[in-house]
Amino acid sequence: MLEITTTEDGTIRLRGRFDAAQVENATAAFNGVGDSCTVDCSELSYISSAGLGLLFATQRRLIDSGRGLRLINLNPHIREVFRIAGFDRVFEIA
Amino acid sequence: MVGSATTSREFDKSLGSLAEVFLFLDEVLPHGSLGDRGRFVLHLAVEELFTNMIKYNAGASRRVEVRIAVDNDHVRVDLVDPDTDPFDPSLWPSVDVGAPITERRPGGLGLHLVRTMADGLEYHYRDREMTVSVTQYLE
Repeated sequence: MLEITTTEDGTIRLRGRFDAAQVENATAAFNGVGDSCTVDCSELSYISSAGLGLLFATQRRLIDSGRGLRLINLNPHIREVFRIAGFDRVFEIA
Repeated sequence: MVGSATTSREFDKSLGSLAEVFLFLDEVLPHGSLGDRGRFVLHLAVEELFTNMIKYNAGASRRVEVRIAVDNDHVRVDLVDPDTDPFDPSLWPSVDVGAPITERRPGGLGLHLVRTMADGLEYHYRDREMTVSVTQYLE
């Protein structure tokens, strides 16, 4: 299960597992992102290529208008996935 | 432990089965010796291979068997589709992960992750039965 919440300062918080079964629900949330924002992954325990694909599509749409996602607090395994995918060059990761 | 112990379960070939597949992995995969990373990699590999079977072989069989064999120094997970066209993940084109974002396509990323992170990936196909096996060594 994946929970997506937005805090008062506009930060998107991901909690749980971002697998292929979660993409349909997550798509609506990320399609609503129209400006640069921070994605807090401190409670995200897992991500697969399906989740990466949705983040990538969002990033690509935002970059076209000079914006982008900033990802923070990735656990070591998710950070490794981003590195192997080459997404450490696609996203700002702190 | 001497020798291997194998546990098997069948799942509907649909995204709705993923949660059950993950629960099965958590039930059977060894705690401790596999490590957090090994567990993460096997979850990732099984999801990517399972969803590929849904995407590329959806019209054939409706079930996928997941077999987990725990041996002295490694775990092997087999995904078996009993009636499908061949799909060898080792032949899937590589992904240019260094390409600029405007030139990148997300497709193929899952198999790239599996091939890079898992300790072993094997493919067997005979009489329309396809078995894809992923291996992860214990710590």
